[in-house]
Amino acid sequence: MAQQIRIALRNCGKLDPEKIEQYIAQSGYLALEKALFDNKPEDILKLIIDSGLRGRGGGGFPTGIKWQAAAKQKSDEKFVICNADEGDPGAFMDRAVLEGDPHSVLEAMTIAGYCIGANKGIIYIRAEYPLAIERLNVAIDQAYKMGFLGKNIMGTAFSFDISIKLGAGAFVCGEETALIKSIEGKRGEPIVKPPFPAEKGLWMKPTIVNNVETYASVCPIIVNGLEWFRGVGTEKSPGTKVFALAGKINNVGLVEVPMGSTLREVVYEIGGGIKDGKEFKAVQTGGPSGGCITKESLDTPITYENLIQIGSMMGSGGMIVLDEDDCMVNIAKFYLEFTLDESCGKCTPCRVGNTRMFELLEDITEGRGTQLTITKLETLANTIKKASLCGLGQTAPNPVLSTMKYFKHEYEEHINNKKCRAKVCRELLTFEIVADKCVGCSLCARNCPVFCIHGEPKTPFVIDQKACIKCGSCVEKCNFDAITVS
Amino acid sequence: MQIKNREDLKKYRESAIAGKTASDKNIKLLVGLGTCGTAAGADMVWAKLENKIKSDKISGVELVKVGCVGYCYAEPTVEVVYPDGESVLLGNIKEDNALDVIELHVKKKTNNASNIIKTNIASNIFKNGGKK
Ligand SMILES: Cc1cc2nc3c(=O)[nH]c(=O)nc-3n(C[C@H](O)[C@H](O)[C@H](O)COP(=O)(O)O)c2cc1C
Ligand code: SF4
Ligand code: SF4
Ligand code: SF4
Repeated sequence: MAQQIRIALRNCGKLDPEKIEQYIAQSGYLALEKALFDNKPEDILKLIIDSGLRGRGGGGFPTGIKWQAAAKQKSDEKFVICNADEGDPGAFMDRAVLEGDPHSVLEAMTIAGYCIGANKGIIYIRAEYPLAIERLNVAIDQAYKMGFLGKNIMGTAFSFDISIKLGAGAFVCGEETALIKSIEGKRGEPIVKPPFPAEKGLWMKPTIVNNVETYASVCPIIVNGLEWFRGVGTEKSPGTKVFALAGKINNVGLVEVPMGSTLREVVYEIGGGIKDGKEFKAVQTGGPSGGCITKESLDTPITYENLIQIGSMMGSGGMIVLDEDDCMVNIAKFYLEFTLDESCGKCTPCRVGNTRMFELLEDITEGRGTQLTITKLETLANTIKKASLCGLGQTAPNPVLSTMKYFKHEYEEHINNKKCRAKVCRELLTFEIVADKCVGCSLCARNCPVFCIHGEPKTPFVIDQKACIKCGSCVEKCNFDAITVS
Repeated sequence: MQIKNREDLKKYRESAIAGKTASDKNIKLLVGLGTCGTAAGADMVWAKLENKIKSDKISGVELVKVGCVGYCYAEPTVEVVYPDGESVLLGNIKEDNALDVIELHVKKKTNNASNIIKTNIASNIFKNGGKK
């Protein structure tokens, strides 16, 4: 039986997030104590590098290496940023950590500051998370009062401040360079890397940006040691990952599993399987930047590399489970519409290219698609991936490419047979009255918004297919199940 | 209290652990009050439990406000942790069945109630159990 192991979520649901004494009683601030009193910054840096901890915000970049790059820089000022923008649709891992255990993030940020030689930390969090912000504020206040933050922490020479910066909830502001611009009070638009933030970040000073869950995983490594951490997960992806399970799954919620667990374990053993006994179709991971994972890959161990190899990605941990009632073309369209809305518009491939891709998808779902539409989609997707400036544009075509790869037959059905097997794309549906079942009550006709159902009372009614706008209200109204959709 | 050196922290941690040990002698009701729990009505459940504990003068019970436990499909959730370390996680606790928590799980120790999602969820991941 698959087991959850809670590292990042170790205290969530176990202690009162507004009581620092409960955090301390659960080994809280023990990692900071060890770091400041028993170790030099280089020692902790080495420990984090050797632990193999990788960023949990999407890319999986080795955390220690990032810290080292910033530590090497000579500068009068450096910054530690916590990325709590969490913009993936359906994701709420970071919110849960901040609401359930805010001190774990503050403590880790302070340790990061000690490692890289920074004295300022900033938590960039979306204003849509009022409870998380409130609990963070309480925690920051407590940490200052007790001397875990501020000048000369616990009487040592090290000083560190943390403040909160509220974001307006734009997806692109989760991208680290756009996030930095936003903190500087400028428009949240990404800039070209290099230079990387570790060299020139906030106010052109060396800056590390890490995800909430990444920070939440740091302290246990320092307290328990790297062998312990490396004992969980896989060789290249040690530790655990938190996933937000959503969609057509019985146990919607948060799970934290060792890296290398399989999708089957997550979906069936922990997630309780598909809702209403329906058939599993795919799981979308990596949100709008990722792709879908199909039945064939249910037993693939979940690691950064494996997910990329099958055309998806780890992403921040959103997992949307899809069943037979989901149309894959429509899913691709949904994600593309999201990125389209969230594109900052700075560069043409992303701004215009994704708009065109969206229109092509609309052509397919509305019955105007041809083979040429597919070819155009493929060409555009590859151009956008190569020519966009930031991760948003570079990954925007992924959901389309991945569904085209694994569900080509669904695209073809839409194009060649003008059929949507999941009965989602309304324009492709046909509503018909089964004469044998229809009692001629006229209820449907009276409710049809375009009055396209005709007939004499007590004899079977007929739908005028040309005039039908496929609104579906007749199906809902009929008490005799006499109207079929195909 | 301001921690000015390592000794201070050590003392504070000892007293925090002593406080925890003392409160572990109570039956604890951990109510999930994250955004998800609150949206599902967990604060009403909290109020109901609080009133009942007061009005019936039930002793040895402690209400604890906690964050999201992850079982969003079954919010609001209440985890009952007994002094012996055993626990049951109860799901779908609404205003109308909130008092079952007291009747079935505080006054008695029912292990087969329909609202139980899980029992004995492992908690502390720290090797030394929080001590040094
Ligand atoms: C469009 C876009 C949105 C992003 N959104 C987030 C986000 O919400 N949270 C996050 O931690 N990282 C996000 N990232 C990744 C960040 O740029 C950065 O890589 C990450 O915060 C680094 O932290 P980590 O190494 O701890 O994962 C986003 C990237 C892109 C391209
Ligand atoms: S790729 Fe899109 S989001 Fe990124 S900079 Fe270009 S237009 Fe903006
Ligand atoms: S689907 Fe709507 S428009 Fe078409 S026949 Fe039924 S009610 Fe009329
Ligand atoms: S509502 Fe149903 S039974 Fe009545 S006329 Fe329409 S199709 Fe026939």
